[in-house]
Amino acid sequence: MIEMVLCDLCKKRKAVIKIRYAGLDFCKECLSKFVEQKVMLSLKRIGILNKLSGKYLVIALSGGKDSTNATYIMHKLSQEYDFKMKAVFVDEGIGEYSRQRRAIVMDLCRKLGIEYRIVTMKEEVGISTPEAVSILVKSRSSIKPCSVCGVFRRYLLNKVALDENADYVVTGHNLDDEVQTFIMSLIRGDIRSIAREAYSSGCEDDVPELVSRIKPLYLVYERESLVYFITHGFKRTSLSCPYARFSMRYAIREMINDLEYRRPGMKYRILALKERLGKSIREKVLSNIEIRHCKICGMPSSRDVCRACELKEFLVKLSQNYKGIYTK
Amino acid sequence: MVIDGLRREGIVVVKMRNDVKRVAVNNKTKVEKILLKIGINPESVIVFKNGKLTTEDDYVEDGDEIEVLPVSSGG
Repeated sequence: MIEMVLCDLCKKRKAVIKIRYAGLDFCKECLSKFVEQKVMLSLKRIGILNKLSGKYLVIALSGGKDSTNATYIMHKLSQEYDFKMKAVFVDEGIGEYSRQRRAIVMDLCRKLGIEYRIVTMKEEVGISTPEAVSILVKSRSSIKPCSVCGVFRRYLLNKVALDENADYVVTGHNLDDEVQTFIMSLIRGDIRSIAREAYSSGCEDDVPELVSRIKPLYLVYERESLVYFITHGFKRTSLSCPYARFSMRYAIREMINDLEYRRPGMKYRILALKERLGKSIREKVLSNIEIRHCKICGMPSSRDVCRACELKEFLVKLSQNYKGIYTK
Repeated sequence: MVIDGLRREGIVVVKMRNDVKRVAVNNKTKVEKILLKIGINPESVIVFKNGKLTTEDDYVEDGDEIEVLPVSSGG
């Protein structure tokens, strides 16, 4: 008979995850505390924890593990730190995948007693993700589905947050997401992105039309997030986004996980480098960027036309070439 | 029993999203060793043993069933 592996912290309960960079096995209760302590730490580090009282937060809830965890933890904190929050679900129109996610979001919000708002990409932007992908495929464009969907989702979240008069937008980005984004910026040679992402929150206080973002899971490994999600019994969909595999992030994730296994804690070290590098170049890189307003939608942008409007115009042009489906 | 020309003490079934593998094990084989044997990076998955979430430091024996769940499913 094999003895069960016990938690290295409490020495009592069955271990459910190995935290390789700490060399310790954790049970579900100790992991739960560990994850929640990391959330508190990341909120303290950006100096936001004690400013939350009386604030109104909009949380981007996709129904996936990370945004579900972020919603759950922030909801717990909302009682202690006295702030209000509303969940926002952006429906990309990806068939059964979006339908299942929408049902999960509605179910979670009802259970937690959180208000929610659903916005559809088709209604708000005029095009759904599958329609945009169809245009890109027919016109043999090299733009990846995640690039289009990501731009429109960020645009919509900011728009909804402004409409709701929210103080902050909360997203479920975890440590792995941040490290992958940093590596992708390096590969693309995108120094602006590195400078912008210097802090755990895009605190654009100087631009009133850009609502500051908070990432509570900034210090949480994706693997820890999944175990937290499962051990809390949250509902999940069996479907994955059909377009995710086309993303460059997919290949980078594999590479980083491989390195993390060989050198545990490497993701933390990359994150620390990202912050130090970002802080040291931030002023130099961003000081000469003038924030203007998009000529079409009026949202702040470093260019005459913002990325979302530029992408919309681009898709309209492409679809007109073959009498496409774009209507708005 | 003799498997692959070596003396083994049991078989463990490993279930993945689109595949099922049968892995020959000796007494007290670590979950981590089984994952590496079939080319899975333990850092990119979480593991259930006989339906219960476990760590890769856990051991398996003949007849155990391992289910492997990828950490990331999205983009």
